[in-house]
Amino acid sequence: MSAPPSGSGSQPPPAPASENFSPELLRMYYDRVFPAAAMCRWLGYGTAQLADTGARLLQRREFSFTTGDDVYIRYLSYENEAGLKKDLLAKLPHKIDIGAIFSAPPSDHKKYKLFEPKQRELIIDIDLTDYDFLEVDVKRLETCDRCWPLMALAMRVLERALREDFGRGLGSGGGGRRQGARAQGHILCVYSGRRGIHLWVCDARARRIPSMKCLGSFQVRGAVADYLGPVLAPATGRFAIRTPMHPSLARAYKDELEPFFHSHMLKGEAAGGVCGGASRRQKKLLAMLENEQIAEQLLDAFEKRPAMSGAERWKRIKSECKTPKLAAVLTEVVFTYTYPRLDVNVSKGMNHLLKSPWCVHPKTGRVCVPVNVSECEEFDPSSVPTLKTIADDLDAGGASLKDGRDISRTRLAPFEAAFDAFLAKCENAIRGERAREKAAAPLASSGAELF
Amino acid sequence: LSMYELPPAEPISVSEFEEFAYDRLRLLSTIELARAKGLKGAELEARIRKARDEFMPLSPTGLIKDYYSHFILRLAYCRSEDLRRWFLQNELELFKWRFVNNPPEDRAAWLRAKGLQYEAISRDEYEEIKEELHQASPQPPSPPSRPRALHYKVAFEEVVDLVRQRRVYLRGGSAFVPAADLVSIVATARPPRLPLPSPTSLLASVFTPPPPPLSHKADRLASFLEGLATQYVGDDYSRPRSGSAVSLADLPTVSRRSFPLCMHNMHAKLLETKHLKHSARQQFGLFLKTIGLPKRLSCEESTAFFRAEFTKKGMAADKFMRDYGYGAPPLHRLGKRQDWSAMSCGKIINSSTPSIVSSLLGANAAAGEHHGCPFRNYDEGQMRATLQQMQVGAQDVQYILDKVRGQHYQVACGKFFEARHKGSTLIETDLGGINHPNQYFEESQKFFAPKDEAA
Repeated sequence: MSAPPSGSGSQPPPAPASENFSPELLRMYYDRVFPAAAMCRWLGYGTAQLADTGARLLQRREFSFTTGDDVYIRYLSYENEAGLKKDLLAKLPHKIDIGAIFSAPPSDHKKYKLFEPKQRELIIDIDLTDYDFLEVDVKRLETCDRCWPLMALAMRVLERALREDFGRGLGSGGGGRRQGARAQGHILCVYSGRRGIHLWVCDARARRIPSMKCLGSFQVRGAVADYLGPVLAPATGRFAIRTPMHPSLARAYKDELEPFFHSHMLKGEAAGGVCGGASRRQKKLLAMLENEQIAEQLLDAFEKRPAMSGAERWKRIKSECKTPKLAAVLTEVVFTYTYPRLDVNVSKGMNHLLKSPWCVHPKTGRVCVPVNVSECEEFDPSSVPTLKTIADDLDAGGASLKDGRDISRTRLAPFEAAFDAFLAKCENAIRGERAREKAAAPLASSGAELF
Repeated sequence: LSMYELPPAEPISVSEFEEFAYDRLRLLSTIELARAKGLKGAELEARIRKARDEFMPLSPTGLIKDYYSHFILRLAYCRSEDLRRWFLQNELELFKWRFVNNPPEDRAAWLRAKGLQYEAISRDEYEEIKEELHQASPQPPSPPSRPRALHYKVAFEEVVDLVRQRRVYLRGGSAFVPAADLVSIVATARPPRLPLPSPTSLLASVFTPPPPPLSHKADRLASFLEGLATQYVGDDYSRPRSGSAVSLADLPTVSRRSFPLCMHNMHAKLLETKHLKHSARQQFGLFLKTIGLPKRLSCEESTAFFRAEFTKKGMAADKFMRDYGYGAPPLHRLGKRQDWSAMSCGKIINSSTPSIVSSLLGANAAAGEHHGCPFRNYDEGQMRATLQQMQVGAQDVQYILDKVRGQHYQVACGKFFEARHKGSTLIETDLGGINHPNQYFEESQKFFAPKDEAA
């Protein structure tokens, strides 16, 4: 496989799924560990105490459970954490998805004539499955942790674009650039439990995109998704990148993609990275140049000197591609190998379900934990707590704590702390927003209108 | 440049009313076809200009016509989501064209008058982000010595199409829009101002106060409006034309060779199941009527044809006459005087509503309904299979499916024609697509005529 190698060497073989995942473990997890309260705090967006129950966002939020035999139970909703926890224990879902905030509580959706999504976080889903150019063995991909650097890269690039271009999220300092006045709200990044990541853009502006009636929310969300993801031109097999590059792409290219291409893509188990090793892989890259003459020359040169390193090969390719047209092609090649590939359909709709944080991946037993963007480089998917390790932690800790703080005794504790920090920031922003709206429109500041 | 904010109040005659409506419909149809063909930039502009000059010239009468016809079509097109979208998209394109082609001073004055004021960025701000603004502009990089172009700062949600194409610089949720792209903001800002009220309320507002003697005319207008949305403004195929003489004996060959997909499909199903439901009988029957000379495929013959097919499965002849015999006479204008011209594509595509629900569920064919436009009603897999069966090349299949996804069913049909008539170039011509099943048929007959003679 040609995936960018990580420095951590070979991973221990993953434990068999049955050991990491079973109904008993799941019951224990939902009963003692799952942070239902924090989840409800998050999805309530500060509306849990509003007098008008219709304005409370949590109870209008759709949850969807998937049972062990792959039955989807849709349109579940809960008034509070107790209800959620009770149902989790009753149904023991293998997967929990979160949907949109509807006009009415989804569990009663049949009672209403008008039942439609009202709000939705802007969600972005990146999965290694879309990185087929890596030619990774699909079976190994299941638990392939060595592709993580690519995911970390995707996370950094997209988070920055969302934050700086669209003014979403506060993130971790703006790299010296003046921040847009609107930059509040937050981006939650979650490891998807196997090989992908999810980004939840949670601020009110993002959630309320639909209510800004332009040509309908679909278009606005779609436009954001299209803005973030360049089009893969089927004819060339490359991302189509215009010259001059759009500032957002230029920034990503200079700060992230090109360095990553050199540090990861050009190094590899078989010397040469993406332009070396197995000749098929090498040919693939050279074919992208769409210039047979140069491609053949290069192939010859590489065959004569198999020991050439990836960086040397790339240098050689660059020296052959001097014309502006070919230089632009090389830029596109770098984009093609590194730029995040997002599933735009997930982001476009209001009603797309997305796996919840703190859900457990049935195949790996790993918990979908939040990941801090600034530390995503150090994040190691193989060290993510699984049901098994959590159970071990609990057993070692002895009897259950009364106040439901069992999670703090497990390896999930740091992740929970990160989630709490995210919630605190989120609620801070909501308070600020409310104060502003109140000041702006003292007459029209009922909770119902705010949300 | 009008936003059509107030409906007209002056009365116009009924014939003007109809004429205005048809002309705007032609104008919008031209735009639709040009768009469906993927025309862009100068080509699209030229096409719109030509059509505008033809149907809505810049003369006092032309302006009045433009004003009235917009509202008339609004009335006619507010009845369903599909129609609304069609109308809006093409009106928007027309509006954009007009906006861009207005002199800049007029434009500025117009914006002021409409209260569409946008905040231009300051010199300092411009200097700070000059580089980025240049990079973001899709035009060939202009020389940096050029004087500073005016940029407007708006929320990114207001310039969705620029964002989608990554043609604008974004920072902190604001888009910095160059003056040249201002049309994008205005266009996005326009739809909410284009409310589409219910026909009755608008009718009321257009014709207030309705003078009592006019009330029967209002009825007439109502039915006119209802028909308008599915109205066909191309060539007249209402009666059989000389030259295309098809007799029953030729039917199998002709069906395979020259029928558009919808008709071919129904014919095939008729032969296969020995049955067609009412809507399909109507659509197919009217089509048959107009491809044959009245003498050849007359009422009796048509009835005989259906009877022969229906009874093959063991249905008694008298049962056929009793249960289905009622259908043919009206189709041939023997009964009530009603318009029984063959259906145009617009009508076929839009009026197959009863089956839309079931076709969405993929149950169209299962329910035995075979009328409507296959390009619209089939799901992708079914379409692909059908096309392959009809020996359409892989590339053409892809093209057709793309057009179908974009809801350009008539262009898809045009490509289908090309694929089935090697060497023809239909969608490259002004025709663009198929507007009428009979047009497909006639083009096809024209195509094969020289070959038949040669053979």
